[in-house]
Amino acid sequence: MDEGKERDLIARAKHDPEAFGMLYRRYVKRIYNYHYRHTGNPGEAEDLTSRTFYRALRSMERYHDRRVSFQAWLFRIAHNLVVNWYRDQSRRKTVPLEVEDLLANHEGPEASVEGRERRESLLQAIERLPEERKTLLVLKFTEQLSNAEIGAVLGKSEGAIKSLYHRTLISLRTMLTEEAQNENPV
Amino acid sequence: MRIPFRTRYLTLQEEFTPQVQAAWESILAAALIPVLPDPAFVAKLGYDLVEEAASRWKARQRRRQVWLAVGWVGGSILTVVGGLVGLHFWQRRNAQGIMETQTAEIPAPAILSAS
Repeated sequence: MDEGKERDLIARAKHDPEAFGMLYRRYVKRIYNYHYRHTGNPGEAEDLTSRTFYRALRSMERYHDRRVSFQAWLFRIAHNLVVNWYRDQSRRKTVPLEVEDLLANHEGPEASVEGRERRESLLQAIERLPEERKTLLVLKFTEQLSNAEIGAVLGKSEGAIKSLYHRTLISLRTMLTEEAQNENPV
Repeated sequence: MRIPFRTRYLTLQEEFTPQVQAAWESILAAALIPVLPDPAFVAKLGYDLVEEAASRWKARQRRRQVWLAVGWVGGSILTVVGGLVGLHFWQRRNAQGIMETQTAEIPAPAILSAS
């Protein structure tokens, strides 16, 4: 869908339930994926996805596309809910990401054991990252958002996002190197 | 010793060359495959949202109609009251005008004019 059509759909969605339904269908998978990447639990991801869209419905009239793109606006709502979720989780002290689930869902038996292990280590390292850095990676690689849009979601400048991204890659590499050294001590 | 910010920044750049960064990006893109929601969940939430949106917009329209009716009735009442008040003042002013004209036309008594 091109930009003009999307803008038209967003304008209609402010007073037309069917147009809102179309917007929902357009974004639901991405919002769910975003929540799943953070929670690692389908139930929690579904709950946060519903809350994101109900909140979007309530705030739809106040949305103006001059300030920020619709997808960045929607991901910002999702991000705020994820931040609250992390706050609640830290009180409950549970381990969120089910890496095995993630792998089981997306890798067939043909995937090599080595590749699977490498991916598992990487996903576990991503899981150990602070919430903001994890959000950055999900938005960049799964949702293909630009640095400016990620900045709009996280409330940071484009330059700050570039710098955060660079630091995230370095910490990921450090984590994986340390893990490899622990497994194979010289 | 405290390292100046600029030095640290240059060190990071050297540590992570564009080639290494590109390799990491491809690994991350391969690892972060989108996870799809249950289609039943998507369908149910979609239905519920459209229903909720429809009821919200109906409620909003009802509120708008109520405010329109209140405005129309209030405006009508104000117009009638305003008209009545205006008429009342107009009549009073008219009556005063007539009385003043009549007073001016009464001739002075003869005794008073002789003295």
